[in-house]
Amino acid sequence: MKYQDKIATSRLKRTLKFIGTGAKVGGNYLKHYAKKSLNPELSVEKLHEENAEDIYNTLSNLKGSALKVAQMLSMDRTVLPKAYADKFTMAQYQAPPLSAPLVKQTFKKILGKNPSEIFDSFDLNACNAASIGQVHKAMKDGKTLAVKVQYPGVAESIRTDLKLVKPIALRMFNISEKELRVYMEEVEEKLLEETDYSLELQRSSAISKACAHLPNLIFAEYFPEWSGSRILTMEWLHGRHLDEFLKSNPSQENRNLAGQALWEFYSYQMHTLKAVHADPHPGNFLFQEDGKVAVLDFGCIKEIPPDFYNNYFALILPGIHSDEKKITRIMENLEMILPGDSEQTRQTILKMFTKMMQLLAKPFSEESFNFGDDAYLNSIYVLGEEIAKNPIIRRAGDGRGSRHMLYINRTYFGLYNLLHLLNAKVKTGIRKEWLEAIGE
Amino acid sequence: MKTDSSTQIIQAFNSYLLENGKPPASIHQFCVSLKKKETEFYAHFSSFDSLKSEWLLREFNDVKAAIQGDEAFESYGAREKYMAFLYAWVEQAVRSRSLWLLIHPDLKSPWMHSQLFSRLKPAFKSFAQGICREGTDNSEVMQRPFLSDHYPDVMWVQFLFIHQFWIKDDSTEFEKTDSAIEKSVHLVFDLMGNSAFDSAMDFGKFMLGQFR
Repeated sequence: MKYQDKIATSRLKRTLKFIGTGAKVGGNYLKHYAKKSLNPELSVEKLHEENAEDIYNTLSNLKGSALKVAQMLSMDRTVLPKAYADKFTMAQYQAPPLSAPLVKQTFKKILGKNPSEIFDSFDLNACNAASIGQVHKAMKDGKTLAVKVQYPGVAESIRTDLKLVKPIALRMFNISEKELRVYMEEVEEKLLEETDYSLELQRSSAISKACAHLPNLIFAEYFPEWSGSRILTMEWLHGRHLDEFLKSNPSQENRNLAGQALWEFYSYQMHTLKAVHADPHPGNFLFQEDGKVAVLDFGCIKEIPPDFYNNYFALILPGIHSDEKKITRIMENLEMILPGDSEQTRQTILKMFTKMMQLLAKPFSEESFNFGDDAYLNSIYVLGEEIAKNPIIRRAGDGRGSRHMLYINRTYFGLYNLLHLLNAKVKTGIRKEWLEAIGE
Repeated sequence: MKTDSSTQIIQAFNSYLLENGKPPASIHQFCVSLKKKETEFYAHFSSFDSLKSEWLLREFNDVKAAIQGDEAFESYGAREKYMAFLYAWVEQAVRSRSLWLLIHPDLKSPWMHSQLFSRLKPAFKSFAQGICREGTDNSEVMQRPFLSDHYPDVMWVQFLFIHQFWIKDDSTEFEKTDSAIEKSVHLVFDLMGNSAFDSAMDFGKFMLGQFR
């Protein structure tokens, strides 16, 4: 891993970095059009790829918040051209590390001891960087441990960083200010919560316990005695990141097992815990050879309010999509249709989003569903694009729908995407206990 | 454990300072309260300032011994060694922060107070020199005519900067000081290493030549 020589220091320096990227991206566009005038076949995909490279390089130097925004946006593939999304997915895996003396210093401050006094061995070189900290490998009593160490002063730089990301994100991702604000607020909230490792320890232990009975899922054991506000020690989980797992050519059976494990994990969170604990981001899971899935990272918890739950999941019930009255009521409850809308706006939104929900709910209507089917995911992309481009919906303004809706939609979409990459066939049919929970 | 008399005098002076918030009115008064002869004081120190400068030196030596006693220290490169020193310095200073805040007014314009730093500065510079030499050996630090002789001076100024930064730092657990150390050491070593600096100098010399 490349050692980080320079951490962007002051606000000015960070600003300059962004401007640098902006200029470079602009340059890429120029190059693209120059090339295109010679070779009209040149695809826009290629251009996106070059841009993504430059943006990624900048973001990974900035670390922290910017990395998180990249991750968030990378989850929402409908917003992003594919090349950006692929590049940003990498953000989860690598960012330059902090110096060994600082790691030791953090230990002395938080736990009052050197890492070598606590563990039998401790690797001062980070083996992995997350958005607000880095991971070290340690050994104690024959157990391998993962120790997360947070960058100093992270909480403080979050707001400044996000302000800086905003203008460039507006230009790069071609989304409206309103829409971006929803993201930004969410990222800020999430990041600030994530900086509190004591809270993470508490929650992670709790959710691990709550989900321990689910088959083929592996959760880490946590060690409060070696954790503190900026240090978190847990069991080292084995497995491969999704892309490496796929490269190892796993059998269809194991793909299905892994997919089913993920499906059960999220179903349990949605319908029983009524709280979602982890982004279905590929970086948050490790896949083992026998199809077991290890859960790495719990971000903050998103509670699903009962009112929203009932409305939202009523949309997966069979036959609901032909009941126009009911759908209208649900759309109103979910704030997709607002009282002041004209009849035309109303009808268009109703039509488009019913189609979208119908599509998202499709796996539920079948006993088992093959997520490897390109056509299915693609039809979601296409419809997403169609909705984004529809002039009436554009005029109606964004930021419709409650924030819960945005979040849950994204969670499902992220999950489908994971299952698609896994090429998994999953038992997805609606279960009796869900129907009871939805109140039907 | 029997402490030697110079250590006793320093400790007594520091506790006096801490309890009264100001130094004793005179060496005479101080020695009376210590039940020592004035000559014993002068055998070690010529003034309160020279006493303080000795205390600074001892703090420095303690810190140096502490980091060198750490098994990981030898495996560090020059950059990390220097960082480790600064982190350890701040860690040690935190223990006597009240004292530092009392002495602080004297440190406000550090380069003016040659008396106070008369013992610390040479010790620090020879330590810095050692780090630079190591850095040169493993090519972390570039030898440059004239300039490389002044690397330890640059590090000295940076060391004082970090100390002042820490004095004013109000973040929890002095987190900001940690960041300041990390970032400023990277900057200093990037400048001392093979960097854009040489290209800038080279280009500058070339352009100057054009206007002659």
